[in-house]
Amino acid sequence: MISLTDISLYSILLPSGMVFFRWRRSDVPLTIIRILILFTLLIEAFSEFYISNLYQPNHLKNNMFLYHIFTFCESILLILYFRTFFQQRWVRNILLLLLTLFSIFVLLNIKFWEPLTHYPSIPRMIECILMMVFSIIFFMNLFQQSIVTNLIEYPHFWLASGLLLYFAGTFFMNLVGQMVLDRKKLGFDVYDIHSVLNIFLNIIYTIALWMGSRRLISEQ
Amino acid sequence: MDGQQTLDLGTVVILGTMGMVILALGVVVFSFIYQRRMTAKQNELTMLDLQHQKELMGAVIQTKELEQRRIALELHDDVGSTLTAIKFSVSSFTIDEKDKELLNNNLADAIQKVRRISNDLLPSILEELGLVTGVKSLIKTLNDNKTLNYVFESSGEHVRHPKDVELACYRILQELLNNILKYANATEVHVTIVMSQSGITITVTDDGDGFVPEEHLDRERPSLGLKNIESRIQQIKGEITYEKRLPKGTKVLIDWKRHE
Repeated sequence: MISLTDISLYSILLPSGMVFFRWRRSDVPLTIIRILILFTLLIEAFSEFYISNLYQPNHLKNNMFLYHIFTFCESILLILYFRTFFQQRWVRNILLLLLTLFSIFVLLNIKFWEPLTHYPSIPRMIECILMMVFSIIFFMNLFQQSIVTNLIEYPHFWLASGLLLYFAGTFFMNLVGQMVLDRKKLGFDVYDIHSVLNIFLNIIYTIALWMGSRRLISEQ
Repeated sequence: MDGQQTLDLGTVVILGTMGMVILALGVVVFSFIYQRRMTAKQNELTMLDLQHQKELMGAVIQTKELEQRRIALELHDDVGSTLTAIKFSVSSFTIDEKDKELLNNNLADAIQKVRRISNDLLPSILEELGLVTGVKSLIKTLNDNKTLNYVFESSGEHVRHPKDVELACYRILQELLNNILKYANATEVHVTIVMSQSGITITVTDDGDGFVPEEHLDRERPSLGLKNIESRIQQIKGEITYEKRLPKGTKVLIDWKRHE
């Protein structure tokens, strides 16, 4: 029987399909999201390969180091994504500084608190907070500029909404930290929260890319 | 005890997650509704601004027409009459016949010019005999200049429509013909008018380079003539369409329907 985790894993194929089959030259933020989707696909594929017997039959199947790498790269790409919406130089510089500090913190976290074999709950929580704040600032920025007339057709509205819901939803899951790995310890599979939200986020990515390509067609 | 603690933590995670999702959803829904309201308000303001601009343009055109009418009447009734009176007086002067003839010729020329200017400002023939006769006269004048070959046809009923509508149609036609002469590189222009109780249909076709206003929107300074045409059309609640002809030329269709 296919589990929720499996559906979550394969759901990345949806936006990846959009990236491959509806590849068009688009604006910088959408290109960053495309890179993020392809990177996620790569990590998921490698992760599956790594924990399978194809890699090594009887090795210690801990792929948490991939989650560390993914968290780090996802955060950087998403900070860069949100950075593209701000025109003020000082805001852009602050975001760059934040990016640097986050990168340093991720390295320190691996060294001192959560090694590569552990679930990276602290960087995940920081990522959640950052993304929620950026999403809300994105909405406020959207009101001030008032250049978008139809939000439904605006891909970045979908993306910001999806990211806000995903990171808000996974915030408490990251709070329990290492317990995520010990799935039934809380009386339920805590990772299911992530699976549901991950499927949701991948659907949002697909819709946003679809909207983005439609916009480009209508602009041509 | 430990089981109770983990259960509590599980409940906290579930409730916390639900709370966070509801909060996030609230932010998204609020943003969506707020932005929609803001856009609607902005659209309303833009529409009002546009309406105001249209009204302003209409008022400018109306004032211009009134002023032109006043100047035309002054020229025709005052300056023209005075010149005619001088011409008659000259015949009684005891001056050299050669000088008298020269003076008479100059005066006749001046009277002719005043009449022409007066007619340009307020085509009296349009007011008195209607659009078809007015346009026919305009075409005749243009053909007399021997710049392009103008062909005029009219059909339909002998009806008169409101003066402001006929004047607007006449002015639009004047502007179109002027544009063709200036920019189209055309050799022949066809003008047809179909008059009926229900409205007026005017078609202007030429064999020039071809023109549609949409292709000229990127110009730094939009044409005042085109703006005038647009304003006059809006004023009479008519319609104008531009169409490129193949292999060359443009067809302009002006359509006005009587609104009871």
